[in-house]
Amino acid sequence: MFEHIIIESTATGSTNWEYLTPLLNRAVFETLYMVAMTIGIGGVIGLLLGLVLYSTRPSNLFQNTVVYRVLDFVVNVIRPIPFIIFLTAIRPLTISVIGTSIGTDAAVFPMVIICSVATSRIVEQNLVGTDPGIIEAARSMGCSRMRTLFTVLIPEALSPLILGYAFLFVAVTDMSAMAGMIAGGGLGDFAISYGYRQMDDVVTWVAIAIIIVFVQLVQQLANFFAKRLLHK
Amino acid sequence: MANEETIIQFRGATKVYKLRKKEVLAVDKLTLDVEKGEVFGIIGYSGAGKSTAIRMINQLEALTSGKLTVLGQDVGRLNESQLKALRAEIGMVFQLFNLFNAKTIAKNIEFPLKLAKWTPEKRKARVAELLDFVGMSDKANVYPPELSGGQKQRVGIARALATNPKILLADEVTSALDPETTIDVLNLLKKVNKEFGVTIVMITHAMNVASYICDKIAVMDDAKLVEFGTAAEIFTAPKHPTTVRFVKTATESDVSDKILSELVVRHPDLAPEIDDLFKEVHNV
Repeated sequence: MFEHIIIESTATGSTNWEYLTPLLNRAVFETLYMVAMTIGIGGVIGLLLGLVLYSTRPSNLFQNTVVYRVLDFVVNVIRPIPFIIFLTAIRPLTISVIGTSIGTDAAVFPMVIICSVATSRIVEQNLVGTDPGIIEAARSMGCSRMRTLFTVLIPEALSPLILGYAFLFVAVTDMSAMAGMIAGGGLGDFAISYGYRQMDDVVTWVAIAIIIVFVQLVQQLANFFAKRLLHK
Repeated sequence: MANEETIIQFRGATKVYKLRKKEVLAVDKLTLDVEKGEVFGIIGYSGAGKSTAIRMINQLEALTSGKLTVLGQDVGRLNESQLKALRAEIGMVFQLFNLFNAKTIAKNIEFPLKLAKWTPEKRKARVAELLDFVGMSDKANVYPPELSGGQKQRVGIARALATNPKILLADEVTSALDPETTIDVLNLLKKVNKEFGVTIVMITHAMNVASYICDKIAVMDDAKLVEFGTAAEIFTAPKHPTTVRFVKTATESDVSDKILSELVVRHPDLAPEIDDLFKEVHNV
């Protein structure tokens, strides 16, 4: 089957879109699925981890040196591992959690881990940037620590947090392109399989164009909401 | 023995910060009484310990040793829910306003009412009343970044008064404001004190601010209380070198005339001394 395509596409000099379009649609769906799942799960876990990192810092709401140091260390250990290596390195863990080490879900699992860790830092850094006087004001009114965190601090940092999540979205899309390594599919896999390996650059460019449009849309949306929330 | 009108009573209140292995004494055995209904000023240079002292009152800073009684309660022995109840009785206004920028002016003022579990109807009425009191009714749905410094501080005062506290803590509330706005805000605080009978404890490094509004003044230097007296006593007869320096800066400032005339009104008995001071300031 493949030989037939190679022959045909090189023979006619044009790409066989009739054959590729369903595959492209499937790749787009897989990418959307991987990114949505990763941001959905990893984004929430990361938010919680980020809140823990922020609030256990010295002289903060839930100051706890042990918790902060341990979590900080774990995040620092996982974060610098190149994703393509991480993906393969945690194979035993992926099998025990997902049941398989190949396919789209098997790719989502390590993506969620990396996304959680990256999100936690972004959340922590954005919250560290908020004015501590605001916490003091809330506490002086008798606002509990938890309530201060969720009803005062997060709303105050919402604008930069949205931009932080948009940044993550790009990083997650980038990660999803490596899912092909473990037969996860997606646009990256599509570009490599039907563009690069078939020496058909047009296919690669189409995949890139779709990713660019996708990322642009999300970034513009994030910019819009971040600006509206600034109230300046 | 403190009388029954004593609303805040420091007894050897001490705060030591541990910075790595070094210990820093922030407040050293502070003993003071604040009487109900007065405007009490704590004056000192930055680092004198006044910020820590005022924060002991609502327990944003815990005491290392000593005792502090606020509204009849030993604040060192309160649990989280008792502390929450106490804090509803103590409003606080800040140097840099500390308004919630993500919430409108009305929502800022409403926030402590939500914490105190007021019903939505009561909250709405109270917010309208407070906005009117501080003259900001037209700004209800505006966000803090759109306001001037003076306007922000008015909102800060309204928010601090929301739950009808008995005590108002004012932390360098005019330090970020220009001289005219300063007078405006101080007049508003006076109004709060007179109309609602709220006891005000304010800290400042500006003698003119303290003498314009305070009934009594405590001077702190290097974590210790070095002088204490009525505003008129401190102003006309300072004893400690730090106090002398503070009084000198006040008389050199451009609002000194206002302060002196205010002092004459409030302390007619001291009029001759104040008159002398006035002449001295103007080299008459």
